[in-house]
Amino acid sequence: MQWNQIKTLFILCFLILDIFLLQQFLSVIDSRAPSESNPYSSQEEVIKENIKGLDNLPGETPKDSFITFKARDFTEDDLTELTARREQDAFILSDGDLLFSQFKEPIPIEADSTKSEKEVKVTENMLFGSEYVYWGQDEVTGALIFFQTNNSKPIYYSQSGFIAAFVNKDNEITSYIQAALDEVDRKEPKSMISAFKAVSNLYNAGELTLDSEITEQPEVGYYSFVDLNEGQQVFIPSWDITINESKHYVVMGFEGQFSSHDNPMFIRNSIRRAQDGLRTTLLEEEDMDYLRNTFSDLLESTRVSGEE
Amino acid sequence: MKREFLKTVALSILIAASLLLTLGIWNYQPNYDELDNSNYTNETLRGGKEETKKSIVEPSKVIINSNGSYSGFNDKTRQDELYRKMQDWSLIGFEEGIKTDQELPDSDEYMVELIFPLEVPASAIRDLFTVEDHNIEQVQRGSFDRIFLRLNEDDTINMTFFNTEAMMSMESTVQNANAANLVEKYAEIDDQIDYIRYEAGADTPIYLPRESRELKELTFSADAFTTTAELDPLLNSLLLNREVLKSNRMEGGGRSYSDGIRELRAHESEKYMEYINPLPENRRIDNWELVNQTVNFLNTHKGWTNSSQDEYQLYELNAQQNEVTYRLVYKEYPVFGEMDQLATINIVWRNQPYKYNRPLFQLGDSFDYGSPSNLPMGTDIVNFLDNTKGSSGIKDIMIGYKLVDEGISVRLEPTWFKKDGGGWSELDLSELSGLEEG
Repeated sequence: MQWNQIKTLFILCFLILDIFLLQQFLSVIDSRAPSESNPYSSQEEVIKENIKGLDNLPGETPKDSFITFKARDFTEDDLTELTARREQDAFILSDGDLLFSQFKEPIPIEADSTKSEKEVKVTENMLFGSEYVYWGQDEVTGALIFFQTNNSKPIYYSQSGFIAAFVNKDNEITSYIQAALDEVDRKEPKSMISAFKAVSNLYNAGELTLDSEITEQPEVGYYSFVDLNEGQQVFIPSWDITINESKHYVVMGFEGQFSSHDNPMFIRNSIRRAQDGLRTTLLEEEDMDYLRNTFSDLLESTRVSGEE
Repeated sequence: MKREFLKTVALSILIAASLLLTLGIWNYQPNYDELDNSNYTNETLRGGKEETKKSIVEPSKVIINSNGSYSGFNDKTRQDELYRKMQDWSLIGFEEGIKTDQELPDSDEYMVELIFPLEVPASAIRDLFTVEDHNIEQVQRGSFDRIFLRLNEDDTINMTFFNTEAMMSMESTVQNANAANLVEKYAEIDDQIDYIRYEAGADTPIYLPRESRELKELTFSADAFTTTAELDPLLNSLLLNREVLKSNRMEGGGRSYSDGIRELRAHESEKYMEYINPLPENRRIDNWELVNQTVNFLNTHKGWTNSSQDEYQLYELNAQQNEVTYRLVYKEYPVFGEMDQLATINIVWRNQPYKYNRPLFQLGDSFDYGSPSNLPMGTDIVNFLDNTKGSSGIKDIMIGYKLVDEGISVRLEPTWFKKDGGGWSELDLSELSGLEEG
């Protein structure tokens, strides 16, 4: 055979070989690529079809930082300043980490008052009040929940940075529990996952059902899975996803883990925290007895009627 | 000629392309985002080892049946030896798949019975034994807790994998020519102890040693690894974010480590740790795959911190929870802790460890030759069971060690343990003494 003909033959052979290799190469790229990218688009469709209120989601992916906090101690000086603002019986609990106070004259709250009007009441009558934002009302006891902020973003559902204000039947604030955090350290901001990714994490974990609706615009705040205890703790930028107005999911902004919360549970836990705080306090026995009764009455009021 | 030149060029390009594509297929790695590995150290737990799936599943008892009398090896290392040899046998069969509604073999039908501490998934057979048969696919969904060996007239061995809970079985045949010889040789070893076959109602028989062996109470130094430096490999392996890691002193002693998401609590004086990583529940995975993944995970930081005399063995599998428990076994006797965290590696798996609780110490030197224990005899236990209500729920009984924490040392006390619906626990013999007196 002529070299010319052999060459033609070779060209054909290698052409076929190359087509095969190319096909192999593409399938290798597919299989080794991060698996997230591919099914994502179709999954996006599924979520769009099944979950309502997606237009509430902000489009941008914000940047934010890890922040390390430690508990702020309440001191006797703080109490002096506090009672000068408004007459109240304030008690320091839990080695200074927690404050419980009862107003001599309850503070009336208009039923239709705005968020900022409530926040003004807090600023006027409580310590460091300007650091707190109104979060919502516990449907069971009517208690008002305020979260401490950092960088004007709320610290979500932390038993170490909140105000729980208890109200009476006439819609007046009678007493409150407060805890506060101090920033120790802040890392460089990093890109967070998008709010949509946060929602799809919830969807993939089977937390969202067909009647789930995102009822508020998700906002960035800070959250830690781990209790602060006595030391320091890292808080992570997180999305709050509100489902059907009452259920809250806090989704961690970098890795997407989440935890679910609701206001009644938060109030119950904060009263229990105050009860525990009685164990490490310098109060007189008389005060202790009084607080013990007060807290168990408060805990009693958190029970949904009919629940025993 | 110009045409020929073009053909040469085309051929060269094609050859070059094929070479490039081949290299591409071999070496392709996608561009992942750079992970921050700067703090990553390749260290592993001090004294830790790697294990294989094959070595962590073992029978807790091997019962030899000769004409209706039952015995077991006095020297438990024999039991291990025989089982290790069995693992090299090459098995065929399984073509009948899983047979349901089976009766346990009659005592004249088999020679050796192996009893496992848990229901081992059938998909493990391929890893535990040597199977070159495609029919193994047919028994993937089953599980077994006993194996019966039947010696046939023609010197072949039938190996039946039996599930005493579901009364299902899987049949296989051993292909090795000298297997029957081997089993007979082991069956004829003199150094054996008698077992009582105890049948509680219609349930599966339980075997108890007639006269308890002279087991001694042993004390070991506890080589703890609870400092931050010693825990470093774990902190790496558990993906804690080193950049923001905070460690706090815990109230009861020890430290907790957290990055705001995951938390590892190392209890210093109690010598164990708890770890939690808040992952959502995910799909249940196959039981044996669960073992596979957790063994790999433990191997990455050499988490098998047993010493030469003891080992960790697979003891419990909970499919609902994706939970797996590896128990410390000392010279083939299982160890149950007064605080069981001291004797088990317990992992709940959700693609990563969701919970991971484990001891933070290794059995060190033995302090003495041990003091004799006054363990009740097997015959006493049988009397006790006959006279106790509710003993029909007991699925297995065996001698193990109770681990008692004594600070810098731990003591192993020989004790009777039972397995019932709630897993393994100490057999409450408080009524036994009363019976003897009365």
